Amino acid sequence: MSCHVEDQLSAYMDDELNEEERQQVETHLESCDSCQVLLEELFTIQSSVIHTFSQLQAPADFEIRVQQAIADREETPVFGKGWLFVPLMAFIALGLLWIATGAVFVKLVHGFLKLMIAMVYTASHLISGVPVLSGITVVLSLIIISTSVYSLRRLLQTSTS
Amino acid sequence: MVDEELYHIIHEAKGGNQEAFTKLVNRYKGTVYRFAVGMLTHHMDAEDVAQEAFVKAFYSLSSLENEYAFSSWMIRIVSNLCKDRLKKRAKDQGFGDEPNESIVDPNLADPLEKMSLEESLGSLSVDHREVILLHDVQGYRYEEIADMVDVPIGTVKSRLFAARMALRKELARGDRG
Repeated sequence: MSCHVEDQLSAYMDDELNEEERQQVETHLESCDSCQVLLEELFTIQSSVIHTFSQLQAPADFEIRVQQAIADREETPVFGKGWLFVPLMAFIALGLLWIATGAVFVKLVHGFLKLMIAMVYTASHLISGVPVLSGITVVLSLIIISTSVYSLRRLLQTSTS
Repeated sequence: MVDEELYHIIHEAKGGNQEAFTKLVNRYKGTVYRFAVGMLTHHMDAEDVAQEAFVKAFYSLSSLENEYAFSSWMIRIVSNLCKDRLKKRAKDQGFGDEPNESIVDPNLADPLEKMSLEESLGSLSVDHREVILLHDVQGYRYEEIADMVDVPIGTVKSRLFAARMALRKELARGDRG
């Protein structure tokens, strides 16, 4: 007896073998009882599956239920999911605020910067123009630096001790 | 329904015609429902998933490139939904502990035989269940199944054989029990 063709039987019954494979299976089946029995069993099971499922019918009102489900979904507001709604609205509100006040805000910042630059320039000009004032500034700066260094050292000593 | 008429309806539904879509639901509800029952072995779940599949199809019909592939496209949708439902079920109830509500149709001559087959099919792996349903119930050829499930044709052949042998084993166990 040549080796069994069990793994080909399924494709044989579905007519999914090529000519050569089909003939090989048929030749084997002529002389093999166990493969014949298996083939018959597989046919019976297939018929049983087909029969069982052909009896099943979808519910009679199925179309109406599908239509209703679609209608329900159509009625759901776009922001029905909720979680997206709040951050989206906040983002839109901020955007609108920026559009309304953005130009004024930028002008304010720009004006403030110009004023600061002008003040620094005037102060340096004034100091360099009066020699006594320059001397006082240098002395004051040295005092401030010395005081800062002293304070810093004390602070560090206090925290480490 | 002749093919040309069917494709015309699919085309109309694709264009947003709800009446045409309802005709499609009527035409394919049995196919989709049977597949869902086979995959889920549970009446209520199958109805829910079949309904969900058509709603999903309604909103994504415009993405269907080929009207002639509507049937397999529809099966792919319901198959994915069934797999999602099975995963959720396994997560909710612990792995391998799916409820197996028996499907008893009063019109059937031998309800015991049916119950046994449903139970046996339900105890197969999802892949095995799917391939048996696609071939024996839906009537697709190996090449079409390979395309739908996205596996080589040789895999369809071996998977279907393994699925049938597993079903045979389950049925024999049912007979003994």
